[in-house]
Amino acid sequence: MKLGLRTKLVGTLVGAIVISSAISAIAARNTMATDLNRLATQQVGSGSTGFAGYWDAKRDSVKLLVTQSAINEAVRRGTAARSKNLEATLTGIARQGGLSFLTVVDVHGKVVARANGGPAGAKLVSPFVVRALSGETVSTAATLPHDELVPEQLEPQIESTTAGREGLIDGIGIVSATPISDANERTIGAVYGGIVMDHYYDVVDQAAHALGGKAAVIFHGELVSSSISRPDGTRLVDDAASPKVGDVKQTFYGVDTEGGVEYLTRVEPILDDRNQVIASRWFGVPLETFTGIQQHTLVSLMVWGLVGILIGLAIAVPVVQRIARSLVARSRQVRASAQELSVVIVGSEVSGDHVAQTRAAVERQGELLMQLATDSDAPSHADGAVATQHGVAEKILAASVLNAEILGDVIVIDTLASEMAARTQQAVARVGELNEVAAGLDMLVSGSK
Amino acid sequence: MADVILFFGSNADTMIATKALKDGGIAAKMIPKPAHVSATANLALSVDPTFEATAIAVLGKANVTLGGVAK
Repeated sequence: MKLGLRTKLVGTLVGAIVISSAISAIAARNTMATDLNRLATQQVGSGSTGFAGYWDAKRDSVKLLVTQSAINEAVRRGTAARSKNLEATLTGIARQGGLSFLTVVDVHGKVVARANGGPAGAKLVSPFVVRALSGETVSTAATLPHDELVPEQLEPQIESTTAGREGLIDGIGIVSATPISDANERTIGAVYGGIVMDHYYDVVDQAAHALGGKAAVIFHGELVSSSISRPDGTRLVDDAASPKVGDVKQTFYGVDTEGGVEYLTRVEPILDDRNQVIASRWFGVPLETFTGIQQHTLVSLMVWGLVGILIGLAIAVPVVQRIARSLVARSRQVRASAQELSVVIVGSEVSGDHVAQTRAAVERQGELLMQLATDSDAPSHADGAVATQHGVAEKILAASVLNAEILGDVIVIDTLASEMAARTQQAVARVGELNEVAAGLDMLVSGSK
Repeated sequence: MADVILFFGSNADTMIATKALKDGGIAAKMIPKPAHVSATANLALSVDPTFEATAIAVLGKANVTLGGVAK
């Protein structure tokens, strides 16, 4: 298929814009992929660090509340007296400080009072209490065994809220234990308190709101606390974490799907006081946050590329039309000139032929005249008498016809000569026009004559 | 039999026709326009009557406009 100049010029322009847009889009996509990856790593890393900060702040807060309780005069007196009335004091402190439980034991580890009103008198076997009674202050994340949660009346807090799904037996908490000393600095008991993190959303919500992502606590492969939403908008909790992050022992960074949404996540293990991994902190930013920017930018580039094509066409089409019109006009000039010049060439050839024909006619007439002069059937006389010639009339007639033909030929030659003279004048003018066309084409192509 | 006279719009056309017929292998003689022929050109072509149809076809093929035919 042969394409016209208009199609070629406009096609080249459109092709150039399309190729340019495509290269821009590919370059932008690659650059953005690199930059966004870096940004995502930074954002998720910062978010995860921030989440760890909130976690540590909560641990410090628990430790502060428990240690303040230990130096509370009412608590010290109540512990020394093993007063059951201590319960009201502990309840007040726990409620104000947001603790899940706060328990005071005597020097033998027997429970004096519990903030939640659980039974007193039994020995509390928590290793943290043992360490506190030995004079140490402990503050850590810890697994809270079932037989510790029941007397504290905290079992309902770890029960699954998802219908038909069995919850965990143990819970995870941030706990602190510290000794209670009397005026003589002798240990008379210990305070043991903390927050059960199952279904406790303060930390994950604070982290999510402040850091702009989603946060969760994974314990025994279950999401026990999270700010992640299910597709129906409810909080994703008491559900299994994806196998990829369910049981991490080392920091994990990568894409994880929770609640049907892909997240770029960083999962860090939560260690207890013996540096054993007991749970993990999950922090993620929806992957769509980053891929959305890429897609939006690509779509923008394509749309603007299309706009560029339209603007380019709006500018190019009139210019191309003007060039094409100019070329068509020049072409007409050339064609007319060529026609004129071809007449000159043909005329020269035809004139030559006619002159040759005329020459042949003249030669024939010469022969005829020679025959007329010499053709005689009478013998010449010795006395020089004139010989009688036969067919003189016929020969003269033939010569007359031939003469008429020659006359016609001469007229034709004369006409041709006049015609050729006129045509030659026109040819000179046409040559001037062709020069003008050539200059016009030079102007069109190079912008100068 | 007398030749057929082909005439054209201009002397230039007559010349082009002569060339076209020559290239087509048909003998044509350029003559002054006969007095009884009404045409704008001063020249005409004389062609053997047996080649009349062929000559007209050749001229048509060569895009030469024929002014008329006189016999």
